[in-house]
Amino acid sequence: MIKKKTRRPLWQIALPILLLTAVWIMLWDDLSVLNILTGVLLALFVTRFFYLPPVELSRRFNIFWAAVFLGWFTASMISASLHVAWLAVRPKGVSAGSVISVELHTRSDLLITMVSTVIGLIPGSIVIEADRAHSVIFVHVLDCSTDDEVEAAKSQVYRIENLLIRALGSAHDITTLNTWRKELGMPPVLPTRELQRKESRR
Amino acid sequence: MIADIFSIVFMIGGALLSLAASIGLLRFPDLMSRLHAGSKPQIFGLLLMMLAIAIQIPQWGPITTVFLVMTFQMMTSPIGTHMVGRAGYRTKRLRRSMLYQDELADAVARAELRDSSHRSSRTLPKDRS
Repeated sequence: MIKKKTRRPLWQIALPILLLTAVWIMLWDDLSVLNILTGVLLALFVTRFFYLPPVELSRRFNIFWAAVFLGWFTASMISASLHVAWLAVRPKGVSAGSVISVELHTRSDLLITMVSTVIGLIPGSIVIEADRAHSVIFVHVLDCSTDDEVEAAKSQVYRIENLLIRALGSAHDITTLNTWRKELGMPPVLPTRELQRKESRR
Repeated sequence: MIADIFSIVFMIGGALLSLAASIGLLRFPDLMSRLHAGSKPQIFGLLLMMLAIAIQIPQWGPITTVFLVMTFQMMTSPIGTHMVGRAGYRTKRLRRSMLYQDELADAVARAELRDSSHRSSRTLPKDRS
């Protein structure tokens, strides 16, 4: 006999519908009953007919580290945009770039995607290939022609991962990150009650 | 008055960044570098433009639209760049002189070596010429 598929929790079904309805209302610029109704109907239609595998969320979100990440992201976006703009107009022209491989610590698809998107948004780096099985991403870095610059680019990828794990990584991600940090002689992240609670629950 | 000054600064900044993006598109010598120039300063430039609009028309209608424009731009642009970069690398549209280090080539070589040692017992790989 075929086992009945385990049902997903209600909020996991409701979240995409809610978001899609919000997008629909924003597109119409008007919060009316008709808009909400058509939005919900369309969202149901879209999620049913263009089915995507559900995203595994980590069930953890730290608003403080999310704010730190946003601040860091904005600052590096500004400085890197100016840097790339300067490379474009400076008389010397641009020097050679590099393709670097970075092995991430997380195994979560969502986090790998987010790290890659952030790398893609920050000027001067693009992800050109990802090895999902081993969590390795290959990043092309603009104007990267010394070993120091290669190292700097790698540590920037790790910083993005670090910040994102602190903001919304799962408890497992944090443990892997902390073992890695211990090897490097750095203090563990999030030595707070939140993590201890998660650890004891595991 | 202050709002006007802010939007002027944002609009000029956005225009300058878009200008830099187009200059980079012309001046950079290879595909990979051009991908950087074509997408990145332009995203931030668009962001500045949208901010200027939001300052000038502080009503819900335009602000939500601006929010959508920014969100979708930031979500889709890295993926588009990634796809072009990946396709470019795979079809070897590369200028080796513009690469200082290529760790993906090492990984590809390792994978091919592994594959061919698996395969050589049965048949020879076809795509060797």
